[in-house]
Amino acid sequence: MSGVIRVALAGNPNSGKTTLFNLMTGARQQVGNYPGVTVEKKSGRRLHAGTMLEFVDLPGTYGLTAWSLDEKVARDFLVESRPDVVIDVVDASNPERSLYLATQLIELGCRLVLAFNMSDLAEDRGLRFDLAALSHHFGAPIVPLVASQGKGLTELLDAVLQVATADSVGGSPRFDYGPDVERALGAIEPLVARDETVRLQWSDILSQPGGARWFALKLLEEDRDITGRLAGGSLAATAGRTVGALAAATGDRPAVLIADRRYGYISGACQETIRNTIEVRHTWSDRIDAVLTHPVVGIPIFLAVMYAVFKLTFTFGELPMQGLEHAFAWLAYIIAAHGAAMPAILRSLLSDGIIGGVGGVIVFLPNILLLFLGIAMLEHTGYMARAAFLMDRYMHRIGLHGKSFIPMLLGFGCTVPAVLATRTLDSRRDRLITMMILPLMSCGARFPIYALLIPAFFPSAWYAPILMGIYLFGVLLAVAAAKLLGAVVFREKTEGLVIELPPYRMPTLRNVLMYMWERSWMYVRKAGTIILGVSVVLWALSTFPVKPAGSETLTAEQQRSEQLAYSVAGRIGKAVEPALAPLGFDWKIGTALIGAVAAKEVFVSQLGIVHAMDPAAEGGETLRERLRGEYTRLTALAIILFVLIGTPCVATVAAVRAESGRWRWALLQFGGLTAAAYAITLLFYQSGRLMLWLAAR
Amino acid sequence: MKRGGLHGNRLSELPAGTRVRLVRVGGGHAVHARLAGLGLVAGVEIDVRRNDGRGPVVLAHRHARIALGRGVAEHVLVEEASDARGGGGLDGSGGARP
Repeated sequence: MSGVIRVALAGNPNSGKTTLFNLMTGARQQVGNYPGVTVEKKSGRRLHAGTMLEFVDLPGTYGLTAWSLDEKVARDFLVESRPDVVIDVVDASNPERSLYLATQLIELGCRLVLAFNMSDLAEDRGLRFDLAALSHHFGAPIVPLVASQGKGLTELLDAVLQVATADSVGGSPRFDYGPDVERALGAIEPLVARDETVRLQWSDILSQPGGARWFALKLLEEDRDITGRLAGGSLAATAGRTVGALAAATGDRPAVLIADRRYGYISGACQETIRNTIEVRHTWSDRIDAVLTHPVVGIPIFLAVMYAVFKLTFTFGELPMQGLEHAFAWLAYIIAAHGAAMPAILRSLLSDGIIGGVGGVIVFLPNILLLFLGIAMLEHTGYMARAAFLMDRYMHRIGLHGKSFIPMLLGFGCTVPAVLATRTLDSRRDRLITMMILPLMSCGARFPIYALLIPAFFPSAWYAPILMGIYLFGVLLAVAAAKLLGAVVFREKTEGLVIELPPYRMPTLRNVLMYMWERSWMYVRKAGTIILGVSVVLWALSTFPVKPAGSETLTAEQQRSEQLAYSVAGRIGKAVEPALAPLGFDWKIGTALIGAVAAKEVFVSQLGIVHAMDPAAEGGETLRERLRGEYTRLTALAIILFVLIGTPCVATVAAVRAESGRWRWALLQFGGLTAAAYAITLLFYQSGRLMLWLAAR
Repeated sequence: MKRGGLHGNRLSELPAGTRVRLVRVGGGHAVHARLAGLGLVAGVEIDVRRNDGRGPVVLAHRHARIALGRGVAEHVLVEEASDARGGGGLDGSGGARP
């Protein structure tokens, strides 16, 4: 056989699918997204017995319904791309549940190979298989496998080649859904084949043997995707009536009857071919859970684990981060010192714009690598599911999922990795709401702003209470925003928690490192390009137009200050001054806020430049003195409030754009938070003034 | 195949340590589809492993441990399992025999 054989890898979450995929493809993997969605698509190749096999890793799913994004993505891929062979990775110690997915793959007409993974564990649990007989029931070869040790791989690939080169899928069973459902199928099937919309939109399915039957089955299951796309047509109306009649006659929706019959088939097949010699009721994994999810000590342990991840990300990341910052500063210096041959503008673009921009991307990399190392450990050991379980009760109150807690906590460090951490959420609704509220968790880059302003205006006894108040206010706003978004934008209720608590496992180094590397690289590639572009734009805004050299002699600080005032950024600051005046801001604060869009901490340096002060000089005291002379305490608090709520930084916008897959969400967040910041700061400043005025009378 | 009316208890009301048979999953298609994928369909026997009266309920089905949010568990109707049938046998409602 010539040409490439396309193989899709399906299976339940925690079935060892990723381990098998890594084993088969090694480091030759490509990571991308399925079209239009943010579900990750990994593919890779391997040469076996002279034939090139191309593997695509489908999302880990328990079925192929349209009720979850992952399942719909997997199904659409199977329907549209028609892989030559599908490997279904079955958890051999839990075969019946895993085979439910197999029944749906068979219904779709896939050429199937069943990989019975973790077969060693299944044996330990007392399961004995008659694989030949079971294989006969499902019309697919079954290969026992221990993916974590690489056992059974050659046999599996042989089976794939054999199935790919076989003439037909003749051996696949045709499930019988019982007289009621079968009668309904018989009535709808011919209508499907005649329907104009179906023939236009699903030609690839209809051309398959059994395609019309699969389609009729989905109509009876009231499949959300298919009924939605057929809405209003006569086929949908007929199907709706049939479903209603079936439900009235049997007392169950057909979807329930169909699922029961699939399990009935599986159960019948397994009863004949699998023997259970011992029953294990309490495993060692249960004993670990007795401690880790304990009603009293579970939460403190969880918080300690989170603290460790936090610490890992931001403390160990600190040193390499500083190293990178120095390296980029040195690079900028080299260009400034030795680039005399270059025109000044080009030098400035290279050192301030491009190196500043690339640096802005790369300096986050140590944090991000470490964060994903932490998340990989949580995911691969099985602890992540327990964390969701523990936090669900609390998060449910604000209309979110237990898993949303982890990104929110990480948001106190840096919003960008927090946005990336929302990947662990399954439902798109929960993911988007979490992403939208993350900038309200006050990130580390906002700290320098607080550290400049609070000591400038308040006695030291007030530092901690004010700082604490800022953080708490952010959290309260996040809770309020989550409730508001849940009530207005994402009306559907949060999907209740349904999560498997997989047995605790020792993660393999290879899986952890690959997870960490893939996700970090995606960040660099996708967020990086946007951050670089916007950094160059912001550089241009504060550099052009260039102020002509005057006759007066100025210090370097004064020159930079004059230049910034003359630039587009300075002019924008002056132009929006009337709009910012009600918040207590002058044009200098406005100009500094434009800089904060590049990165929050830039606010401090920009404020220093417009006031012709070096913020680093004498620990910032000279700048603080200047600020005290120009602004009031109320203005200082207003600045803090505005920076806390408004204008998420470019890196956040880029990360939200990349992770949500749409500019819409990133821009909605930017606009919404900035508008909220304006309104809240306005209310705060004006009522503060009113109170001061009343107090003075 | 037809099952009785609304007899049975809500899973959310049962204490840990109870062994029950699943009667019906209410609460809509999405919930039914998700639970079916995890093997939780009418007729299977499950152990309630954890129920603190608030927060999610943890149950054991074969070797799997599954946490259901309280809202989901309220929609799962169960009945006391006769222990004679229990004991990890490969049960299941009568379906299409292979």
